[in-house]
Amino acid sequence: MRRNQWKIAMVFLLPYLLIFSIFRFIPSVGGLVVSFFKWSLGGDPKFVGIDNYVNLAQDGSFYTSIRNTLSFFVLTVPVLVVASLLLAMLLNQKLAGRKVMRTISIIPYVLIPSIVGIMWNWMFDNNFGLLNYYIKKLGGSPVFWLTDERFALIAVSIVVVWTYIGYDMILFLAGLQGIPKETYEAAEVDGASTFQVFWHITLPLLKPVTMMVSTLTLVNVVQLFDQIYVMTNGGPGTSTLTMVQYMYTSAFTNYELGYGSAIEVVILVLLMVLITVQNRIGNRERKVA
Amino acid sequence: MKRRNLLALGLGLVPAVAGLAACSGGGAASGTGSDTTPSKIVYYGGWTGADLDKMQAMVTKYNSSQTKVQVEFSSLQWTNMFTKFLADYQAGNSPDVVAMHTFEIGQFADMGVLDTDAVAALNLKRDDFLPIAWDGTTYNSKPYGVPLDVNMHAVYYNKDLFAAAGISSFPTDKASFVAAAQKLTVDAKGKHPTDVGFDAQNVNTYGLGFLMNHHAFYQAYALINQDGYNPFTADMKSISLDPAKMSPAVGFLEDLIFTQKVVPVGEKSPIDDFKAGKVAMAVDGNWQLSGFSDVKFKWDTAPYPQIGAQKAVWGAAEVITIPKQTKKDEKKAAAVKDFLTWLAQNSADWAKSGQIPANKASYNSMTKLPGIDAYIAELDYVKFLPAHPQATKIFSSAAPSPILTFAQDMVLNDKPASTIVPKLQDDINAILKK
Repeated sequence: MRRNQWKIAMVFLLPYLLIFSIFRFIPSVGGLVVSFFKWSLGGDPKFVGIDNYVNLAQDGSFYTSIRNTLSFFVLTVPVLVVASLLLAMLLNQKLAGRKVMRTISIIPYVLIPSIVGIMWNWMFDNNFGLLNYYIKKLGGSPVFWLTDERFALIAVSIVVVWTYIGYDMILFLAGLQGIPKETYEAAEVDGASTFQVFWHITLPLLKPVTMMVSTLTLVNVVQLFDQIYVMTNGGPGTSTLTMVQYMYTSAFTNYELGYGSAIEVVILVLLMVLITVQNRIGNRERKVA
Repeated sequence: MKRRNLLALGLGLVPAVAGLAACSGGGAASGTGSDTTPSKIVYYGGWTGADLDKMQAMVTKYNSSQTKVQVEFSSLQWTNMFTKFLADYQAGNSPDVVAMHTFEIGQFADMGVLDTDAVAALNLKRDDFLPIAWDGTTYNSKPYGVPLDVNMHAVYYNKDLFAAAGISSFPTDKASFVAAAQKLTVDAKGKHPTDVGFDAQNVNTYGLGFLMNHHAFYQAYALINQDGYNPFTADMKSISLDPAKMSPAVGFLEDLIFTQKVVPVGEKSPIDDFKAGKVAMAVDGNWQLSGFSDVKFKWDTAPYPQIGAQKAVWGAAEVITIPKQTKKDEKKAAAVKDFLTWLAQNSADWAKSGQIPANKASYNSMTKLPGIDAYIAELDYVKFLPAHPQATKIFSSAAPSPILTFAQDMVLNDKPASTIVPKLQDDINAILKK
């Protein structure tokens, strides 16, 4: 790249890099530093080395939060990726009202998360909620969505899928519209079935988009806070206590900033591991293909 | 490393907290220019409901009653407010007065962020306040705040539904309380839980409602106190809980939900259900009293029933504390004294929010809201949580606090006392060990 091009690129990149550095990079490095301190926010910080990490390793609630975060990941990410792809394929067809449907699909994503949480709280209400009303109408027993520890994480996962499906659909839609029509026409001439077209053309050509969607979804899901805070606040018991929720509670309810920062560092590491594994799988499949 | 240096680096979680501090507008911006400039006092509270409006109105009334002091009042949900308070304190920008509950005093006093000398300098007298409220402001034999009010649980009840069920007076013991709750619970076919064929899946009206969060622990706390058992103390270094002694309390609450089926499983908002006529009785606090002006049916309140050997009910008191300041400012100290003295003496207005003023003069002159008498009757036996230095962790309303896990294992998961009491003990001891 020539020097002039570099300068132009830097002019465009600089605002983002500045904001990224101030609000993301420096705080992340700072979080690492604070994680080696015991600090109640009220008193003086005291250097404790790796004590916060040692305590984390012995903390049952922390393991619960990891288990819940991974369960949450398993419950939402595959469903979101598959469902949003199918929705994008549907809304990529020449159907009447598809533009309206695309707009409607994205509405949950642009709603304020706390409002979404409150709204679904009423929908999930055990005794007077809409879902249980219809379940009872159909002769079923009410499900205690948010108050039974067996269902709470599933209920929150439903809300997350509902929230993000439109956003992921838009990304897939952009990917689908980037596939050259000639490719499909050639396949049609060759007599390929609908499934063969999907499997051998659409899916491979969508791989970069799929990787991006799954990575973004993974990050969004692992970092999710608002809906859980509003809907369950980590409960019942600790059944929806995710790592981010636990970090918040440790830092801002228990005033253990060092401990909260240590959790933050572990979240960062976990995300990096999950994304690396995801990319490795994606790249391996690409090579095989 | 000095805390300021760490804060100034803008590291990790700190920038987020400091960001909150920046939003405050600054507690240090006091009006200390000429003597004619009014002193500015920054006042933080944790009220978010109807009581927020009442406190704001009191502050406005104080501001317009004189020209020497101007109070800038802001209120956030309690936990967020405390985070903001501590962040401001670290930034050397501490508010001048902060409201909190008595059980939270221990933690902040131990952090060293509260100024007991400034409170002592107010020269308040115990005789001027309700004893229970006054005693709650003392930690390690030092005064840490000005008592503002007392609040507690009692039972709201629907007099129309009581009359329809043929219940003439509010039940006061265990047997009559359970019997009344059963009579008041009616399914879609008009059957009660004691009737054959009662359909628990289609209940029109439940006899009783209560919160299934940390307030369920507060009920258990009241019930063990009724049995004369209270192992929670302000100076506990570890705790030993006896499942046998807590079993009656746990069993009583669980049975109401899962055996007698008179309480909706997983109820979210008993007071809203009560106002909608979906529950006939609801256990809740006096802070709800100001929200009953538009309720159409006849209602009243009654003291929390005596289930055990003696009367006891969970309660709390709100106090106004004075945080330590980095710079001594005599003019501002005088302004704080003037405001807090006024607030204590004029807290009769605070009773409009449903709270019981802690100041005796205000208490005697308050206009009583309908339903407050049952709460006042409980003043003699209300039980506060201890002001332990780790109280906000042990008694937190957010997961995974020990009391929340215990409460939800009890009222949502129907787990036996033999399982959940040892877990509560272990969870509390894990915090106390840190």
